[in-house]
Amino acid sequence: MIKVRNLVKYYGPTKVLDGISLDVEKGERIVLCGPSGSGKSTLVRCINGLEQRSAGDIEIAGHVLKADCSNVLDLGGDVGMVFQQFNLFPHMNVLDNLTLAMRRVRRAPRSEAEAQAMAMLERMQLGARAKAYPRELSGGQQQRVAIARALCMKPKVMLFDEPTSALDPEMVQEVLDVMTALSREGLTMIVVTHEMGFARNVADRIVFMDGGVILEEAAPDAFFDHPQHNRTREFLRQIGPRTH
Amino acid sequence: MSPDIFIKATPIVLQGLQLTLIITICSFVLGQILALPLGLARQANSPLLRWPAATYTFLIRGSPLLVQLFIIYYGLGQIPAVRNSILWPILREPLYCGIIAIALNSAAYMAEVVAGALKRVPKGQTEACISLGISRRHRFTDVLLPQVYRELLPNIGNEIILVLKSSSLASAITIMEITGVARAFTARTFAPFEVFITAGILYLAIGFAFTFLFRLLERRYGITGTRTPAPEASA
Repeated sequence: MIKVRNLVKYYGPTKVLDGISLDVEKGERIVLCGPSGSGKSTLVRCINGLEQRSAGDIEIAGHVLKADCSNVLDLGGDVGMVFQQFNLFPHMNVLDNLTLAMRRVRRAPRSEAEAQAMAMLERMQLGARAKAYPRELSGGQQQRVAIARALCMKPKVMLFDEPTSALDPEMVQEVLDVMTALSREGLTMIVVTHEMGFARNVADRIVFMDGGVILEEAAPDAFFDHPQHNRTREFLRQIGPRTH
Repeated sequence: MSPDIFIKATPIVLQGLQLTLIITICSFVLGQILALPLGLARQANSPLLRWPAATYTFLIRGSPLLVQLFIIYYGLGQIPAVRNSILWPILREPLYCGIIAIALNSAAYMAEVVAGALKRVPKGQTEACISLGISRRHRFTDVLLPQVYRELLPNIGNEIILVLKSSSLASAITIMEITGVARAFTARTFAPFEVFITAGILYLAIGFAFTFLFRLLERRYGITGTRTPAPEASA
Protein backbone atom coordinates (compact mmCIF):
# COMPACT_ATOMS: atom_id res chain seq x y z
CA MET A 1 0.00 0.00 0.00
CA ILE A 2 2.88 2.34 0.82
CA LYS A 3 6.44 1.94 -0.41
CA VAL A 4 9.08 4.47 0.60
CA ARG A 5 12.64 4.06 -0.68
CA ASN A 6 15.67 6.01 0.52
CA LEU A 7 13.69 9.14 1.27
CA VAL A 8 15.90 12.15 1.90
CA LYS A 9 14.61 15.58 2.82
CA TYR A 10 16.49 18.79 3.45
CA TYR A 11 15.09 21.98 4.93
CA GLY A 12 17.70 24.37 3.61
CA PRO A 13 21.01 22.96 4.84
CA THR A 14 19.38 20.79 7.51
CA LYS A 15 18.85 17.14 6.71
CA VAL A 16 15.58 16.15 8.39
CA LEU A 17 15.10 12.77 6.72
CA ASP A 18 18.18 10.72 6.05
CA GLY A 19 17.38 7.74 3.85
CA ILE A 20 14.04 6.42 5.09
CA SER A 21 12.69 3.18 3.68
CA LEU A 22 9.34 1.91 4.82
CA ASP A 23 6.80 -0.60 3.54
CA VAL A 24 3.24 -0.68 4.74
CA GLU A 25 0.91 -3.50 3.79
CA LYS A 26 -2.78 -3.13 3.12
CA GLY A 27 -4.67 -3.02 6.41
CA GLU A 28 -1.55 -2.51 8.46
CA ARG A 29 -1.61 -0.05 11.36
CA ILE A 30 1.64 1.74 11.96
CA VAL A 31 2.41 4.05 14.86
CA LEU A 32 5.27 6.43 14.18
CA CYS A 33 6.95 7.79 17.27
CA GLY A 34 10.12 9.45 18.35
CA PRO A 35 11.40 12.58 20.03
CA SER A 36 10.34 15.92 18.63
CA GLY A 37 12.48 16.94 15.70
CA SER A 38 13.05 13.32 14.69
CA GLY A 39 11.31 13.82 11.34
CA LYS A 40 8.10 11.83 11.86
CA SER A 41 5.72 14.60 10.80
CA THR A 42 7.93 15.42 7.85
CA LEU A 43 7.84 11.76 6.84
CA VAL A 44 4.04 11.57 6.72
CA ARG A 45 3.88 14.92 4.96
CA CYS A 46 6.29 13.67 2.31
CA ILE A 47 4.31 10.45 1.95
CA ASN A 48 1.16 12.32 0.93
CA GLY A 49 2.94 14.95 -1.12
CA LEU A 50 2.50 17.96 1.14
CA GLU A 51 6.27 18.33 1.26
CA GLN A 52 8.63 17.98 -1.65
CA ARG A 53 11.46 15.60 -1.06
CA SER A 54 15.10 15.92 -1.92
CA ALA A 55 15.59 12.32 -3.02
CA GLY A 56 13.99 8.89 -2.93
CA ASP A 57 10.86 7.19 -4.26
CA ILE A 58 7.36 7.08 -2.87
CA GLU A 59 4.52 4.90 -3.99
CA ILE A 60 1.21 5.15 -2.19
CA ALA A 61 -2.25 3.70 -2.76
CA GLY A 62 -1.26 2.81 -6.31
CA HIS A 63 0.15 6.24 -7.18
CA VAL A 64 3.82 6.95 -7.86
CA LEU A 65 4.39 10.36 -6.35
CA LYS A 66 6.71 12.61 -8.34
CA ALA A 67 9.60 14.24 -6.50
CA ASP A 68 8.21 17.75 -7.08
CA CYS A 69 4.75 16.60 -5.96
CA SER A 70 3.27 17.99 -9.19
CA ASN A 71 0.91 15.00 -9.39
CA VAL A 72 -0.20 15.19 -5.76
CA LEU A 73 -3.80 15.92 -6.74
CA ASP A 74 -3.91 12.57 -8.54
CA LEU A 75 -4.10 11.00 -5.09
CA GLY A 76 -7.53 12.63 -5.13
CA GLY A 77 -8.50 11.83 -1.56
CA ASP A 78 -7.19 8.25 -1.68
CA VAL A 79 -4.81 9.23 1.09
CA GLY A 80 -6.69 10.85 3.95
CA MET A 81 -4.85 13.20 6.24
CA VAL A 82 -5.73 14.33 9.75
CA PHE A 83 -3.80 17.34 10.97
CA GLN A 84 -2.77 18.42 14.42
CA GLN A 85 -4.62 21.72 13.90
CA PHE A 86 -7.75 20.10 12.32
CA ASN A 87 -7.69 22.53 9.36
CA LEU A 88 -11.45 22.53 8.96
CA PHE A 89 -12.87 25.15 6.60
CA PRO A 90 -14.05 27.84 9.04
CA HIS A 91 -16.56 29.46 6.70
CA MET A 92 -18.50 26.25 6.09
CA ASN A 93 -20.70 24.28 8.43
CA VAL A 94 -19.81 20.72 9.34
CA LEU A 95 -21.90 19.18 6.59
CA ASP A 96 -20.37 21.39 3.89
CA ASN A 97 -16.89 20.64 5.22
CA LEU A 98 -17.63 16.97 4.61
CA THR A 99 -19.33 17.26 1.24
CA LEU A 100 -17.04 19.77 -0.50
CA ALA A 101 -14.45 17.26 -1.68
CA MET A 102 -17.06 14.60 -2.46
CA ARG A 103 -18.84 17.03 -4.75
CA ARG A 104 -15.78 18.71 -6.29
CA VAL A 105 -13.42 15.74 -6.56
CA ARG A 106 -15.69 12.70 -6.69
CA ARG A 107 -18.36 14.68 -8.55
CA ALA A 108 -21.10 13.30 -6.33
CA PRO A 109 -24.47 15.07 -6.57
CA ARG A 110 -25.19 17.21 -3.53
CA SER A 111 -28.02 15.04 -2.22
CA GLU A 112 -25.92 11.90 -2.43
CA ALA A 113 -22.92 13.57 -0.83
CA GLU A 114 -25.05 14.92 2.00
CA ALA A 115 -26.63 11.54 2.67
CA GLN A 116 -23.19 9.96 2.87
CA ALA A 117 -21.84 12.74 5.04
CA MET A 118 -24.78 12.46 7.43
CA ALA A 119 -24.22 8.74 7.76
CA MET A 120 -20.58 9.40 8.54
CA LEU A 121 -21.49 12.04 11.12
CA GLU A 122 -23.92 9.66 12.79
CA ARG A 123 -21.12 7.14 13.05
CA MET A 124 -19.00 9.77 14.77
CA GLN A 125 -21.98 10.69 16.99
CA LEU A 126 -21.93 14.16 15.52
CA GLY A 127 -25.19 13.98 13.60
CA ALA A 128 -26.71 16.74 15.72
CA ARG A 129 -23.87 19.11 14.85
CA ALA A 130 -24.20 18.92 11.05
CA LYS A 131 -25.26 22.55 10.74
CA ALA A 132 -22.78 23.90 13.29
CA TYR A 133 -19.71 25.86 12.29
CA PRO A 134 -16.27 24.62 13.33
CA ARG A 135 -15.82 27.50 15.80
CA GLU A 136 -18.91 26.30 17.67
CA LEU A 137 -17.40 22.88 18.33
CA SER A 138 -14.97 21.68 20.95
CA GLY A 139 -11.49 20.70 19.86
CA GLY A 140 -12.33 17.01 20.12
CA GLN A 141 -15.45 17.45 18.02
CA GLN A 142 -13.51 19.44 15.45
CA GLN A 143 -10.93 16.71 15.14
CA ARG A 144 -13.66 14.08 14.77
CA VAL A 145 -15.22 16.19 12.01
CA ALA A 146 -11.79 16.38 10.36
CA ILE A 147 -11.49 12.59 10.52
CA ALA A 148 -15.01 12.23 9.11
CA ARG A 149 -14.15 14.65 6.30
CA ALA A 150 -11.17 12.55 5.26
CA LEU A 151 -13.14 9.30 5.57
CA CYS A 152 -15.90 10.58 3.30
CA MET A 153 -13.43 10.30 0.43
CA LYS A 154 -13.18 6.55 1.11
CA PRO A 155 -9.40 6.72 1.43
CA LYS A 156 -7.23 3.66 1.02
CA VAL A 157 -4.78 5.02 3.57
CA MET A 158 -5.28 7.36 6.51
CA LEU A 159 -2.41 9.42 7.87
CA PHE A 160 -2.68 11.05 11.28
CA ASP A 161 -0.18 13.76 12.16
CA GLU A 162 -0.29 14.16 15.95
CA PRO A 163 -4.09 14.21 15.92
CA THR A 164 -4.44 14.71 19.68
CA SER A 165 -1.53 17.05 20.39
CA ALA A 166 -3.55 20.25 20.07
CA LEU A 167 -6.41 18.97 22.22
CA ASP A 168 -7.25 19.65 25.83
CA PRO A 169 -6.47 16.50 27.84
CA GLU A 170 -10.12 15.64 28.46
CA MET A 171 -10.78 15.50 24.73
CA VAL A 172 -7.94 13.23 23.75
CA GLN A 173 -9.80 10.03 24.54
CA GLU A 174 -12.84 10.70 22.33
CA VAL A 175 -10.53 11.14 19.34
CA LEU A 176 -8.45 8.08 20.20
CA ASP A 177 -11.67 6.06 20.54
CA VAL A 178 -12.71 7.00 17.03
CA MET A 179 -9.29 6.06 15.73
CA THR A 180 -9.34 2.75 17.57
CA ALA A 181 -12.74 1.97 16.06
CA LEU A 182 -11.37 2.77 12.60
CA SER A 183 -8.40 0.51 13.09
CA ARG A 184 -10.78 -2.41 13.63
CA GLU A 185 -12.27 -1.88 10.19
CA GLY A 186 -9.11 -2.83 8.38
CA LEU A 187 -8.15 0.62 7.21
CA THR A 188 -4.46 1.13 6.48
CA MET A 189 -3.23 3.72 8.96
CA ILE A 190 -0.08 5.58 9.83
CA VAL A 191 -0.35 7.49 13.08
CA VAL A 192 2.21 9.94 14.42
CA THR A 193 1.49 10.16 18.13
CA HIS A 194 2.90 10.30 21.60
CA GLU A 195 -0.06 8.34 22.96
CA MET A 196 1.77 5.13 23.81
CA GLY A 197 -1.33 3.48 25.27
CA PHE A 198 -3.00 3.83 21.90
CA ALA A 199 0.15 2.56 20.21
CA ARG A 200 0.24 -0.57 22.31
CA ASN A 201 -3.45 -1.31 21.79
CA VAL A 202 -3.80 -0.57 18.13
CA ALA A 203 -0.51 -0.75 16.26
CA ASP A 204 0.61 -3.78 14.28
CA ARG A 205 4.03 -2.24 14.17
CA ILE A 206 5.74 0.63 15.89
CA VAL A 207 8.30 2.62 13.99
CA PHE A 208 10.72 4.59 16.11
CA MET A 209 12.51 7.51 14.48
CA ASP A 210 15.35 9.65 15.68
CA GLY A 211 17.52 12.13 13.85
CA GLY A 212 15.80 11.55 10.51
CA VAL A 213 16.34 7.78 10.42
CA ILE A 214 14.28 4.79 11.46
CA LEU A 215 16.08 3.35 14.46
CA GLU A 216 13.77 0.53 15.31
CA GLU A 217 10.68 -1.23 13.99
CA ALA A 218 8.85 -3.80 16.04
CA ALA A 219 5.52 -5.18 17.13
CA PRO A 220 4.19 -3.28 20.18
CA ASP A 221 5.01 -5.91 22.78
CA ALA A 222 8.56 -6.32 21.56
CA PHE A 223 8.95 -2.58 21.21
CA PHE A 224 7.81 -1.70 24.69
CA ASP A 225 9.16 -4.73 26.55
CA HIS A 226 12.45 -5.28 24.75
CA PRO A 227 13.57 -2.11 23.02
CA GLN A 228 16.80 -2.72 21.14
CA HIS A 229 18.34 0.72 21.09
CA ASN A 230 19.54 2.97 23.86
CA ARG A 231 17.76 5.92 22.27
CA THR A 232 14.52 3.95 22.26
CA ARG A 233 14.90 3.01 25.89
CA GLU A 234 15.64 6.61 26.80
CA PHE A 235 12.60 7.81 24.83
CA LEU A 236 10.34 5.26 26.50
CA ARG A 237 11.66 6.18 29.90
CA GLN A 238 10.90 9.84 29.29
CA ILE A 239 7.32 9.28 28.22
CA GLY A 240 7.01 6.13 30.31
CA PRO A 241 4.00 6.99 32.48
CA ARG A 242 1.84 7.39 29.41
CA THR A 243 2.10 3.76 28.31
CA HIS A 244 -0.48 2.63 30.82
CA MET B 1 -23.71 82.40 7.97
CA SER B 2 -27.25 82.69 6.86
CA PRO B 3 -29.92 80.01 7.15
CA ASP B 4 -31.35 81.27 3.88
CA ILE B 5 -28.33 80.15 1.97
CA PHE B 6 -28.37 76.73 3.64
CA ILE B 7 -31.94 76.31 2.46
CA LYS B 8 -31.04 77.49 -0.99
CA ALA B 9 -27.88 75.41 -1.13
CA THR B 10 -29.51 72.14 -0.22
CA PRO B 11 -31.44 71.46 -3.46
CA ILE B 12 -28.46 72.65 -5.49
CA VAL B 13 -26.04 70.33 -3.77
CA LEU B 14 -28.54 67.50 -4.05
CA GLN B 15 -28.38 67.89 -7.82
CA GLY B 16 -24.87 66.46 -7.62
CA LEU B 17 -25.94 63.50 -5.54
CA GLN B 18 -26.84 61.29 -8.47
CA LEU B 19 -23.48 61.73 -10.19
CA THR B 20 -21.61 61.23 -6.94
CA LEU B 21 -23.44 57.95 -6.37
CA ILE B 22 -22.86 56.82 -9.96
CA ILE B 23 -19.15 57.57 -9.78
CA THR B 24 -18.77 56.01 -6.34
CA ILE B 25 -20.63 52.81 -7.06
CA CYS B 26 -19.26 52.27 -10.58
CA SER B 27 -15.66 52.99 -9.53
CA PHE B 28 -16.01 50.84 -6.45
CA VAL B 29 -17.45 47.85 -8.30
CA LEU B 30 -14.97 48.12 -11.16
CA GLY B 31 -12.15 48.56 -8.66
CA GLN B 32 -13.16 45.46 -6.72
CA ILE B 33 -13.39 43.41 -9.92
CA LEU B 34 -9.92 44.49 -11.03
CA ALA B 35 -8.45 44.06 -7.54
CA LEU B 36 -8.99 40.29 -7.47
CA PRO B 37 -6.82 39.29 -10.47
CA LEU B 38 -4.29 41.95 -9.47
CA GLY B 39 -4.17 40.67 -5.91
CA LEU B 40 -3.79 37.08 -7.10
CA ALA B 41 -1.00 38.15 -9.45
CA ARG B 42 0.62 40.12 -6.64
CA GLN B 43 1.24 36.98 -4.60
CA ALA B 44 1.68 34.52 -7.48
CA ASN B 45 4.77 32.35 -7.67
CA SER B 46 5.60 33.38 -11.21
CA PRO B 47 7.57 36.65 -11.48
CA LEU B 48 5.87 37.18 -14.85
CA LEU B 49 2.63 37.75 -12.97
CA ARG B 50 4.06 39.26 -9.82
CA TRP B 51 6.21 41.99 -11.36
CA PRO B 52 3.65 43.67 -13.61
CA ALA B 53 1.16 43.72 -10.73
CA ALA B 54 3.76 45.13 -8.36
CA THR B 55 4.71 47.82 -10.89
CA TYR B 56 1.07 48.73 -11.37
CA THR B 57 0.32 49.12 -7.69
CA PHE B 58 3.57 51.04 -7.19
CA LEU B 59 2.76 53.55 -9.94
CA ILE B 60 -0.86 54.05 -8.93
CA ARG B 61 -0.34 54.21 -5.20
CA GLY B 62 2.74 56.36 -5.59
CA SER B 63 1.12 59.21 -7.51
CA PRO B 64 -1.81 61.49 -6.67
CA LEU B 65 -5.25 60.55 -7.92
CA LEU B 66 -5.77 64.10 -9.15
CA VAL B 67 -2.73 63.79 -11.40
CA GLN B 68 -4.00 60.43 -12.68
CA LEU B 69 -7.38 62.02 -13.44
CA PHE B 70 -5.71 64.77 -15.45
CA ILE B 71 -3.51 62.29 -17.31
CA ILE B 72 -6.43 60.10 -18.27
CA TYR B 73 -8.85 62.90 -19.18
CA TYR B 74 -6.57 65.57 -20.65
CA GLY B 75 -3.47 63.54 -21.44
CA LEU B 76 -4.77 60.52 -23.31
CA GLY B 77 -6.74 62.69 -25.74
CA GLN B 78 -3.47 64.11 -27.02
CA ILE B 79 -2.49 60.77 -28.48
CA PRO B 80 -3.90 60.27 -31.99
CA ALA B 81 -3.92 56.50 -31.55
CA VAL B 82 -6.27 56.93 -28.58
CA ARG B 83 -8.49 59.37 -30.48
CA ASN B 84 -8.78 56.88 -33.33
CA SER B 85 -9.35 53.83 -31.15
CA ILE B 86 -12.69 52.27 -30.32
CA LEU B 87 -12.15 53.43 -26.74
CA TRP B 88 -12.36 57.10 -27.71
CA PRO B 89 -16.12 57.44 -27.15
CA ILE B 90 -15.43 56.36 -23.57
CA LEU B 91 -12.23 58.31 -22.95
CA ARG B 92 -13.79 61.45 -24.43
CA GLU B 93 -16.36 61.59 -21.65
CA PRO B 94 -15.25 63.13 -18.34
CA LEU B 95 -17.62 60.89 -16.38
CA TYR B 96 -16.13 57.69 -17.79
CA CYS B 97 -12.62 59.02 -17.31
CA GLY B 98 -13.43 59.85 -13.71
CA ILE B 99 -14.87 56.41 -13.06
CA ILE B 100 -11.89 54.68 -14.72
CA ALA B 101 -9.28 56.73 -12.87
CA ILE B 102 -10.88 56.23 -9.47
CA ALA B 103 -11.49 52.52 -10.17
CA LEU B 104 -7.87 51.96 -11.23
CA ASN B 105 -6.77 53.73 -8.08
CA SER B 106 -9.06 51.77 -5.80
CA ALA B 107 -8.03 48.51 -7.51
CA ALA B 108 -4.37 49.15 -6.73
CA TYR B 109 -5.05 49.64 -3.03
CA MET B 110 -7.45 46.71 -2.80
CA ALA B 111 -5.06 44.44 -4.69
CA GLU B 112 -2.48 44.87 -1.94
CA VAL B 113 -5.11 44.19 0.69
CA VAL B 114 -6.37 41.07 -1.13
CA ALA B 115 -2.82 39.78 -1.59
CA GLY B 116 -2.10 40.36 2.08
CA ALA B 117 -5.25 38.54 3.16
CA LEU B 118 -4.48 35.60 0.86
CA LYS B 119 -1.08 35.28 2.49
CA ARG B 120 -2.67 35.30 5.94
CA VAL B 121 -4.99 32.36 5.26
CA PRO B 122 -3.36 29.57 7.28
CA LYS B 123 -1.30 27.17 5.17
CA GLY B 124 -3.29 24.34 6.69
CA GLN B 125 -6.30 25.35 4.58
CA THR B 126 -4.35 24.73 1.41
CA GLU B 127 -2.92 21.52 2.81
CA ALA B 128 -6.37 20.26 3.75
CA CYS B 129 -7.52 20.94 0.19
CA ILE B 130 -4.54 19.13 -1.31
CA SER B 131 -5.01 16.11 0.93
CA LEU B 132 -8.66 15.92 -0.17
CA GLY B 133 -7.65 16.18 -3.83
CA ILE B 134 -9.40 19.53 -4.34
CA SER B 135 -8.14 21.22 -7.50
CA ARG B 136 -6.37 24.58 -7.53
CA ARG B 137 -9.38 26.30 -9.01
CA HIS B 138 -11.82 25.01 -6.41
CA ARG B 139 -9.29 25.66 -3.69
CA PHE B 140 -9.56 29.34 -4.58
CA THR B 141 -13.27 29.55 -5.36
CA ASP B 142 -14.54 27.39 -2.50
CA VAL B 143 -12.01 27.71 0.29
CA LEU B 144 -9.50 30.56 0.05
CA LEU B 145 -11.44 33.43 -1.53
CA PRO B 146 -14.60 33.03 0.56
CA GLN B 147 -12.40 33.28 3.65
CA VAL B 148 -10.44 36.21 2.25
CA TYR B 149 -13.53 38.22 1.37
CA ARG B 150 -15.26 37.49 4.65
CA GLU B 151 -12.20 38.73 6.47
CA LEU B 152 -11.93 41.74 4.18
CA LEU B 153 -15.52 42.94 4.58
CA PRO B 154 -14.47 45.73 6.99
CA ASN B 155 -11.70 46.79 4.58
CA ILE B 156 -14.12 46.75 1.67
CA GLY B 157 -16.58 48.88 3.61
CA ASN B 158 -13.72 51.25 4.30
CA GLU B 159 -12.74 51.28 0.65
CA ILE B 160 -16.15 52.39 -0.56
CA ILE B 161 -15.92 55.41 1.79
CA LEU B 162 -12.50 56.24 0.37
CA VAL B 163 -13.90 55.94 -3.15
CA LEU B 164 -16.79 58.19 -2.19
CA LYS B 165 -14.38 60.84 -0.99
CA SER B 166 -12.16 60.42 -4.05
CA SER B 167 -15.19 61.04 -6.24
CA SER B 168 -15.08 64.71 -5.20
CA LEU B 169 -11.89 65.06 -7.23
CA ALA B 170 -13.91 64.32 -10.35
CA SER B 171 -15.11 67.93 -10.14
CA ALA B 172 -11.63 68.87 -11.35
CA ILE B 173 -12.41 67.38 -14.75
CA THR B 174 -15.70 69.25 -15.17
CA ILE B 175 -18.00 66.66 -13.62
CA MET B 176 -20.89 68.26 -11.76
CA GLU B 177 -21.13 65.88 -8.83
CA ILE B 178 -21.70 67.21 -5.32
CA THR B 179 -18.41 69.08 -5.05
CA GLY B 180 -18.73 70.29 -8.63
CA VAL B 181 -22.16 71.84 -8.16
CA ALA B 182 -21.11 73.23 -4.80
CA ARG B 183 -18.17 75.01 -6.42
CA ALA B 184 -20.33 76.38 -9.19
CA PHE B 185 -22.92 77.62 -6.71
CA THR B 186 -20.23 79.25 -4.57
CA ALA B 187 -18.94 81.09 -7.60
CA ARG B 188 -22.38 82.67 -7.94
CA THR B 189 -23.26 83.30 -4.27
CA PHE B 190 -19.85 83.90 -2.68
CA ALA B 191 -21.07 81.83 0.27
CA PRO B 192 -18.57 78.97 0.36
CA PHE B 193 -19.08 78.18 4.00
CA GLU B 194 -22.76 77.32 3.86
CA VAL B 195 -22.55 75.51 0.54
CA PHE B 196 -19.58 73.35 1.38
CA ILE B 197 -20.92 72.54 4.82
CA THR B 198 -24.09 71.33 3.14
CA ALA B 199 -21.96 69.28 0.75
CA GLY B 200 -19.91 67.90 3.65
CA ILE B 201 -23.04 66.84 5.51
CA LEU B 202 -24.29 65.09 2.41
CA TYR B 203 -21.03 63.15 2.04
CA LEU B 204 -21.25 62.17 5.70
CA ALA B 205 -24.79 60.94 5.21
CA ILE B 206 -23.86 58.82 2.19
CA GLY B 207 -20.83 57.47 4.01
CA PHE B 208 -22.97 56.59 6.99
CA ALA B 209 -25.41 54.73 4.74
CA PHE B 210 -22.57 52.67 3.20
CA THR B 211 -21.12 51.94 6.63
CA PHE B 212 -24.49 50.75 7.84
CA LEU B 213 -24.90 48.52 4.79
CA PHE B 214 -21.51 46.90 5.33
CA ARG B 215 -22.20 46.40 9.03
CA LEU B 216 -25.22 44.38 8.00
CA LEU B 217 -23.15 42.37 5.53
CA GLU B 218 -20.49 41.75 8.16
CA ARG B 219 -23.03 40.55 10.63
CA ARG B 220 -24.45 38.21 8.03
CA TYR B 221 -21.25 36.86 6.47
CA GLY B 222 -18.30 37.90 8.60
CA ILE B 223 -16.22 35.32 10.38
CA THR B 224 -14.47 36.39 13.51
CA GLY B 225 -12.29 34.35 15.77
CA THR B 226 -12.49 31.29 13.55
CA ARG B 227 -8.90 31.24 12.43
CA THR B 228 -7.05 28.29 13.83
CA PRO B 229 -3.66 29.40 15.07
CA ALA B 230 -0.69 28.67 12.87
CA PRO B 231 0.56 25.16 13.59
CA GLU B 232 3.64 25.10 15.74
CA ALA B 233 6.73 23.88 14.01
CA SER B 234 6.94 20.21 14.70
CA ALA B 235 9.02 17.47 13.27
